[in-house]
Amino acid sequence: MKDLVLELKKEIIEVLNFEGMTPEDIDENAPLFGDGLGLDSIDALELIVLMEKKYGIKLADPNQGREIFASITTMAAYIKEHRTK
Amino acid sequence: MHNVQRAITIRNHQVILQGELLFQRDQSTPNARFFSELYKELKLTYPKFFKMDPLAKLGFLAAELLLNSLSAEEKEEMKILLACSHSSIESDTMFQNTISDESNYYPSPSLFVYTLPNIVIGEIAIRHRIYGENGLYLTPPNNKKSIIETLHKQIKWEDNRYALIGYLDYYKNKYEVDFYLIHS
Repeated sequence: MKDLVLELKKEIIEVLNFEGMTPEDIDENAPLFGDGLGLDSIDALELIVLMEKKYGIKLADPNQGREIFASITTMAAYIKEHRTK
Repeated sequence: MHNVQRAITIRNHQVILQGELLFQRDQSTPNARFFSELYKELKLTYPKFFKMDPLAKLGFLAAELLLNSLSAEEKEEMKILLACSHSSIESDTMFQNTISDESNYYPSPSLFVYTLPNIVIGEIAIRHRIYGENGLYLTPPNNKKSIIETLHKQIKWEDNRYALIGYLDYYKNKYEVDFYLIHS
């Protein structure tokens, strides 16, 4: 799980173009949206694509996103359970 | 140029505020690291900064240092008039790269939002809650001094008391910013 959290941080830094940010700068338990990492709806699209392309997870129900994308930790837990690649 | 209350220049990895060297890094430091180290030096907590393209980061950091002495009320109706030379070409190129390979076609939304140069004004306005009018002009690099004077002359003061004017540019890893806080 620890490896997956670190991998996710690196992936998010890359897909969201967080240039100059390091994995250590991200608190895996902080909220991804609003406060914390400060992501917005455009970033949510990037995360949905990341889930599908990298882990083979297609989110059919948009309401799921609220819980899955609460933090890096919640994302990692969901990926661990549902990944197909 | 009259009524200049504060001035900031950032180029060659040196930050000069009011004529005094405030922060510097070795020339070999990559630009992204220079920007993030300046961000950390200023003890800012604004994660959105890291998502910005280089042009927006440059303007954001300069504005941060220039405007930190003003109250929220003083900033509210401020005008922002800026100029640049190479527009958002860096982000345009990065976005183009996301759609040029048919086998890996993915028009990245997070890159697309920075494919307009005036986004830098939006980022500054959001950060400081500035609601005054604004404009961004494109000008040849050799016209920098003249455009700043032109921007200064364009300010119509009406009720507002402050204006942020200046020039910034980012192209092929070269950058510069000269911002001025003008008081009516």
